[in-house]
Amino acid sequence: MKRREFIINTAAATAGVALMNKKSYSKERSVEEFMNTDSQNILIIIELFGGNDGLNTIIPYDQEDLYLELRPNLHIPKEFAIQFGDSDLFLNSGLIDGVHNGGMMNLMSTGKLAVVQGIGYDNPTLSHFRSSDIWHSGINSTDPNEKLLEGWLGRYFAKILNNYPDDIPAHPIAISLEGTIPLMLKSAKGDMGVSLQNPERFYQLGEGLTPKSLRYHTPTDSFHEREFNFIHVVAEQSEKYSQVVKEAYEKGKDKIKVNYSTGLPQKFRVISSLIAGGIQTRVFYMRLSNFDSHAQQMQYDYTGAHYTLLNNLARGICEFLDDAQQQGFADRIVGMTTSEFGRRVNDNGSRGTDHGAASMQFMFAGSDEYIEGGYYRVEGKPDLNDLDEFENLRHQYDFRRTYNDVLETWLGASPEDSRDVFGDTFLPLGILNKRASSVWEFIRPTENQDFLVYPNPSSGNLNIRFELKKYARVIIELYSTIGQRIEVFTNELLPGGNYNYNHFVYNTGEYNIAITVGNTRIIKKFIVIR
Amino acid sequence: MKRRDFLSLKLDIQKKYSDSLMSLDEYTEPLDKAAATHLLRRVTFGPTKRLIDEFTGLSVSEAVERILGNGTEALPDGYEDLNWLDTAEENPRDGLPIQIRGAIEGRHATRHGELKTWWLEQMRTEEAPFFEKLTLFWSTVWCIEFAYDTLELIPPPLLYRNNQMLRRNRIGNYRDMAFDDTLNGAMLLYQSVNFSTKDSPNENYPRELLELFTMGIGNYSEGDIREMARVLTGFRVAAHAFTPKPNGQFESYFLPDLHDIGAKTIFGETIPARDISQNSEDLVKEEEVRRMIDILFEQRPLPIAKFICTKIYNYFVYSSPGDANEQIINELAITFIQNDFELKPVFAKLFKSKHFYDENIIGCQIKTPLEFIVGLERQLKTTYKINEQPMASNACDDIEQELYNPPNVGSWKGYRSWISTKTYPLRRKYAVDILDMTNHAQLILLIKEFNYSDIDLFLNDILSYFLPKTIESDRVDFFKDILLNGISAQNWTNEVNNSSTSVTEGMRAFMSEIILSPDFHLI
Repeated sequence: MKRREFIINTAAATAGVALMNKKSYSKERSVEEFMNTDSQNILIIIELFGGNDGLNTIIPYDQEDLYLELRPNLHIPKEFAIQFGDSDLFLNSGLIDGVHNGGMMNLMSTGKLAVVQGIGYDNPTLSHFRSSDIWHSGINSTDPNEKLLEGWLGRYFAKILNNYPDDIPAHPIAISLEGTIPLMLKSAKGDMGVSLQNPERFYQLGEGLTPKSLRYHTPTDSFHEREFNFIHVVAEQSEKYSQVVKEAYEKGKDKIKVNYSTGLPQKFRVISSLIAGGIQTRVFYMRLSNFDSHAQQMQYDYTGAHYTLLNNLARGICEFLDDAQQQGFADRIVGMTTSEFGRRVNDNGSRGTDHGAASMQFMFAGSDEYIEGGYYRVEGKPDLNDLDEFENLRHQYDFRRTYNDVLETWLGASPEDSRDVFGDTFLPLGILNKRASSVWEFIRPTENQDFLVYPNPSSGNLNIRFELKKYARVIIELYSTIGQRIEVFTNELLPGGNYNYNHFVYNTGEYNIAITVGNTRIIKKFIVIR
Repeated sequence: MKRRDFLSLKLDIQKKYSDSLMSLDEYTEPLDKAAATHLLRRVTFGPTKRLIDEFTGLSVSEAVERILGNGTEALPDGYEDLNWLDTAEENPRDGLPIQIRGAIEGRHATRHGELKTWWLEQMRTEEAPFFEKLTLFWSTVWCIEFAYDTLELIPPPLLYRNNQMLRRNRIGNYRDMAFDDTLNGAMLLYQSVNFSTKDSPNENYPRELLELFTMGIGNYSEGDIREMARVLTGFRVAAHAFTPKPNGQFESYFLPDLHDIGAKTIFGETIPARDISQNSEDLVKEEEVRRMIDILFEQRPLPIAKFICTKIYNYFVYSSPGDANEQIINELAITFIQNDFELKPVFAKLFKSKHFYDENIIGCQIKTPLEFIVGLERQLKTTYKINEQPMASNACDDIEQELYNPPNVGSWKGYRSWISTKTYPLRRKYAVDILDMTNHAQLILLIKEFNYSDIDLFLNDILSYFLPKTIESDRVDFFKDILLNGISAQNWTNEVNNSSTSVTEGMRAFMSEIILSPDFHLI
């Protein structure tokens, strides 16, 4: 059986995550190579603003009767949805129809796509703006009067860049392809990133923008001085980065290997040129709007507004990943979609849907080495029979868990960093694999792995074996798949040497084992079957 | 000592404003030139020299009365410039062939463009009483998007009617604005009420009515939204040709068979069920829609007053009010309630207050794209007619403020989102374009509007014309050098009288530097 089929079938049959951590570091690579290479990692974020209808994106044909009953005017018939193999995963055909290279289905088959079902947060708000602020800030505040003024990435980058904005990095740390900087990139130190749409124009216009006058001293109580300083920094960045962006764009624009189609793909084209030209930006942000489909979301031929939007999204992602593959930077790319909420389970009679709560999320990567593709959900979820008081789907995964995959696994944050960013601990979902990790500073491989977890699946016995190179704190914790901590097995300072921990897990089911050493947290799946 | 340290030290000494902010008590002095300029910057799209002279010396009461008017003045008439205001098109979604549909959508797009330039023209040329800043403000509250779904456009005649409705209600009673906007054609289409039926009441509009247009999140339940959705079932707009238009083209109408006649309970108040014989447009409008609006104001007066006054404050005073300013907003909210939700007393109280003229409020607000572009045109006295020259309108679109096409129903985010590495370089570009369109003769005329008998007096005047606050003396010297352009200070006045090109070249160079100053983006 091919590995991909194995994953998806398991997903349908059990709890829906990739079973084994396949990462074995079997290739001959030095520890040094593993170190400090995180800086090559690039994150693409596509916000689907308005609230994407998750149920018509990934269609719940495992609950066919209920789906048809709740969506009399707005269901996608089974023959118009596209099934992945013989699994429970049915995709909206807009994600595939006419899309480059077989669309999202091809990404699924090649293990580069993860579909996360049941993503959301406690006490969901049905307001676009509040919910969007919650997603952008990474703070779930139930008090609507609490202003959310900083973003999750903004806070993380502000932590890294101590002297910002007095010292700004040589390359923009993040680029928004929209006219504005989204909340997720804002911080108390200012905007962590720049926005641009047309790199050539950006350059032509950037020259000579640095103001002749100096900034005022901070902090200041004067409103005028505060705003003056804010504008001053943007002006300085505009000039400084216009040069960097031009150089990268000029170098990279002719390296494009794919004919990008219209709409969102054109933004991907710009990103591809910049990366090909050597820009060292870590995060690219795009927004696709008009998901707020209260009316006329679908035409009678099952295409229409929502289909068109998904098609736009899929074209962008698939054209870009193929281009990246051909150009040779695919293994640096990881991407995710976000949307402030899903939509109401029952349609509203205007051939549309009202605001909902939990929904689905795509994560993708240019290389299957860095992502465990598959269908991530808790067994039997989303349950169209088990709705909240407003008849919306319940979430199983807090959205900060996939954020944390990105932060800890892809952008080099330590568990402590991510706790600072979110104000709480969220276990990464374990979708992404680290390119290289600082565990190799502390760990010598055991049978080609960092930590050997065996047997797996197990009838209850759990052994964790590893070799510590030098003195370090090691924390080993057992978590449920929905991210609740069940037990702390170990939290101690250990001298170098070989270790083998033995535990017994009583209840059958699927678990995550989180092992933290140095500043890195590694997630291992562990399954108990009897 | 570094220059920056020196400046900061100097500023610390100069810092005049006190820690406690001023109250909403009335500003009792007559308006001096600085105060008049500040007021005009906030309530118009840019003070001209003539307006500054007209308002200097007035008492705040006189000034504010002149600015706001009485609300019954004739409105600018779009029929003179826009010949399509009564032209209906077929619904592009009605299964039309793709070419025909494309042609209709093309006409809609062209007309939307013409409407934008028409509105910009009003902003650029208006005299007191001023309608346009208030109208724009209300259009950011009661937001409408021309291209509102992936495949939907609002016919521009509906946008024009929406625009006039806002202009008419700009200083009236907020309840009336809420009622008029609820049944406004563009809104019915934009917020899906046009599709709402008794079997499937649509929640889109009632949610935004509560969350964005009246009281804000946290003051209502999902149940209230659902009940309000039922009130609005059956209302439609005659948006297209070949559709029913019982009240005329582009007017709203009522389909009784689609209206839910059952009782509705909103905030605990019940609108009784109606007999089928009473299910008529007039009765449902008055007894249900107007009643529903009234219930909101009866049951949630304080949240509404605070929410709307916060929006007013953020727009006209400062977009990032700290805790100290919350007190001011509360005071304003009380005025709003005491005046039974009449808007004029609220605006009047604010614009007349000591707080509004406080030193810390001057020059703290980031110019919106419209204020930036139209303001420069007003201040440089560009003379072209915008209808013939869509540059300004395109510029505003490019720097992220396209009229009747904000990014979403929450309108533009405003404040610092206006300035980014995308928009900042473009602001400079368009400002330079506007400057380049101003010829030698126009610049000489502009200079001669001020007292140019002495270069230092002139410099003082022209700096306070374009920049919101007094600047440090080293910056003044820097600007003076550039303005003089090699002419000696003694000889400069003479050279102005001679209409010397050295003078206008100096003025251009001076303006180019002004445009590069961060404080040129502040009012």
